[in-house]
Amino acid sequence: MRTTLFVSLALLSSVSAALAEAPAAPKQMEPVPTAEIGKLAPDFTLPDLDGKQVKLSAFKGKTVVLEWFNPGCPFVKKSHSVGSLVETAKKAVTAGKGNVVWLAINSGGAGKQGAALEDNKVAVKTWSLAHPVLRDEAGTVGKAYGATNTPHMFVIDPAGKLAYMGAIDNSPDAERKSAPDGKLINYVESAIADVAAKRPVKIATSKAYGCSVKYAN
Amino acid sequence: MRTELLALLAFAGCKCGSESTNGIQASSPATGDKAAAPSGPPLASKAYFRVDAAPDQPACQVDAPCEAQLILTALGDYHVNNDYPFKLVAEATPNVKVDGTGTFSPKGKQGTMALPFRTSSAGTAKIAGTFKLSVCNDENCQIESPKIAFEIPVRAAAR
Repeated sequence: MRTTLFVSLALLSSVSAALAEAPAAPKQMEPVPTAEIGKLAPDFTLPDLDGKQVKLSAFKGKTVVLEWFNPGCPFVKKSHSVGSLVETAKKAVTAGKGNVVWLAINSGGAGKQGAALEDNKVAVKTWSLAHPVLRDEAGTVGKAYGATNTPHMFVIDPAGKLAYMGAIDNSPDAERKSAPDGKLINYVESAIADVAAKRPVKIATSKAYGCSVKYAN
Repeated sequence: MRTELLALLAFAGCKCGSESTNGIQASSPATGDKAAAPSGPPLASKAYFRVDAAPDQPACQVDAPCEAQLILTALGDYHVNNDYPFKLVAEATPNVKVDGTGTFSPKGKQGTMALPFRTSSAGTAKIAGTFKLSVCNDENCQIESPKIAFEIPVRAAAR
């Protein structure tokens, strides 16, 4: 019995030591953001709230606006109820006469704030959104674009190149009431106008404000 | 003997489990600056913030520039949202003229809102308005607009 115990102890000790000295497992590499102003925007295919697949490159030849979205985020709620996202998408799409496409993308991981399918469907109704909300639960597309906030806006020109990335406007209260000197600038509307006029986008980047994107990891 | 062996197994298992995290330690929740929340009833509060009048308000004098000070304290695992444009939108109160919407200075879990004003009568100056604020934790940000009101003693102008 004593011999058995010693053998067991020796075995346990060696197993324990082996595990203690086991090399660290390689860390999983985070996708590196590849979106860059003036460069081709990363292509993607994502499902909308009805499961229909939407492919970015299918819109080549049009101006595409990407809006990172989370209906549970207070900044998104403010932006869509009293801020610069009220009716902006509809106006841009209408004024673009078929040449402007608006896509919202929710990169929230399963179980995270605002990621549930039903929450997004309710938000579409509440804010009368006429554009698709795409689901990016794995966060791959969000990370490829370097989307950090909701809302975080990207404008892609008809050639598929990124023309603008940043905030929707210069009022980080999301209520259009905190623009410096009271001069509100809707960066996305401004970028769309510049792209349509085939002139360089005057303000191509700005600091996004709002909630963090609730990535799965 | 069997009991001893089981205890050893349990010990070894516990040790192995610990090491198998590959050196990654479970992190405790970030607490940020451990500023003590002011005592006494707040001017406004929720589970994740409280707003108080600063205990040491600057001495104010009639017809001289003065400054009301508010302290925002983020509670629990929340911190002050440094990117938010904090504002105190003042309401009209008797004999008080507020200049602007205040200047907010964040510091970890607290921030101070300084609101310049003048008053034309001695006694107390009532400052009232909507404090637009935001606090966040790792998961969520909150935007709040509580109504606040408090009084500041004002002494007569020196003759």
